[in-house]
Amino acid sequence: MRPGAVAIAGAAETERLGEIPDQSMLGLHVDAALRALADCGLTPRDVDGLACAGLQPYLPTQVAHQLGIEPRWADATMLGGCSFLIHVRHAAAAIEAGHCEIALITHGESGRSRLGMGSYAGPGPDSLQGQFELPFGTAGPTTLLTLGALRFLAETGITREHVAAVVVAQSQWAARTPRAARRTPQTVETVLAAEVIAWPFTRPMCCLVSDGGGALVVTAAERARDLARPPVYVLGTGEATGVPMASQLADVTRSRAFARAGAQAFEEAGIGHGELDHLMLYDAVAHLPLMMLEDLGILERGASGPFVAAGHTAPGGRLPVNTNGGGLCYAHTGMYGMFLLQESVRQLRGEAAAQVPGVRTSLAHGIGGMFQAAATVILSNQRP
Amino acid sequence: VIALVELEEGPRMLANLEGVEPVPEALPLDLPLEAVFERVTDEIALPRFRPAGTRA
Repeated sequence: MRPGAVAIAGAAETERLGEIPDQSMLGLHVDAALRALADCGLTPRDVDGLACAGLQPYLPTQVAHQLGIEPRWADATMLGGCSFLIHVRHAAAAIEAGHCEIALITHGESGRSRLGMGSYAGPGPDSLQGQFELPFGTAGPTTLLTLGALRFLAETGITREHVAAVVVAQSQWAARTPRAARRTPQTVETVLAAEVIAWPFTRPMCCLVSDGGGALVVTAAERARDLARPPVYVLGTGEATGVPMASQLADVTRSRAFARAGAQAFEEAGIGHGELDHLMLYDAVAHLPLMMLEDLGILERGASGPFVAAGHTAPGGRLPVNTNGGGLCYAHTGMYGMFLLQESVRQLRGEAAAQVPGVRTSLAHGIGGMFQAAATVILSNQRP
Repeated sequence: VIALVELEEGPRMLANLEGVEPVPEALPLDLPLEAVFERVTDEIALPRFRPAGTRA
């Protein structure tokens, strides 16, 4: 893809966020979709491409039916929480190929209230996880994303205090963000004194469980310039598959998928690591942003912990990270990647609740499942 | 206790530890282990591990 050929023209989250006891998964998709289209002055009739991800099959069909449209391009790529970053990449390719003109990407998840979420109950006993991980008591992200964390700390010299500093920095962003769920400023001491969920992680180091959603409208840059909002240009994207089980990472202290997705995006964007003004790093658990800073090549191995502890990612710091408060403090529906992109767009438009002055380039990086996939999107408000 | 266990033969597997207190101080990295087998049903046994040399 040529950097800047395609842009995000419209973006919006669901009207409500957090606990929404009266709206189904599908209702959240539709709410987000209508709001994102209205954001840029379009209606469902204008949409000819649709991408959705969730645990239910045929989601694009379901969402299209609810919106009353018949798209000619559909993408149901489901690679966990980073799926929406992958959808941006796929939509850009589809637009360049002429397969659609206006691509709508929707996310809705009743992660807390579990309304209309379907009957999918997780990996069955005959799956790889069912045979080789679940019998030993694993129970979702807090027990799987954390498996290699003690080794990661030991090998990098990063401390538990450094991991707590991730929460501290993000709580400072959340304190400036009215929609954030956890808005109480934290200290390293309060984070470490909280209830242990999976050693060495305490409750504030683990993400929220929320209801909500979001949607994006992606189109050619020329088309985006005629719409209601300033375009956010897609400079570069990357996607990578990881491992089917977290316990089988080649090296449990790194994700090759993080590195591969990031390298693709930087190469496509044609920019260096030093040219980023703002980062959104998927933080289902608090050490993931540290791993990402290193695996993406933004910081040297072992440097991420001291960097965050020094306040460089916090308000006023030189490399703001997770400025909505992140999955730890803002919201986390289960497939959080959509919210990474929403905050990148807000920062690049200059309309974020905790706005960073002068953001021109933003990177969003997401993980899918338990190191099962990764994706990177680099965005800018300047056309290259 | 959920642990990643590296076998001498090479593979790494997920397993549970037994015979050790579930507290960080008792669970250093690279703790030498030995396998024990827990019979879950008549047909299924699961491998578990305990600190080497502590078999009852």
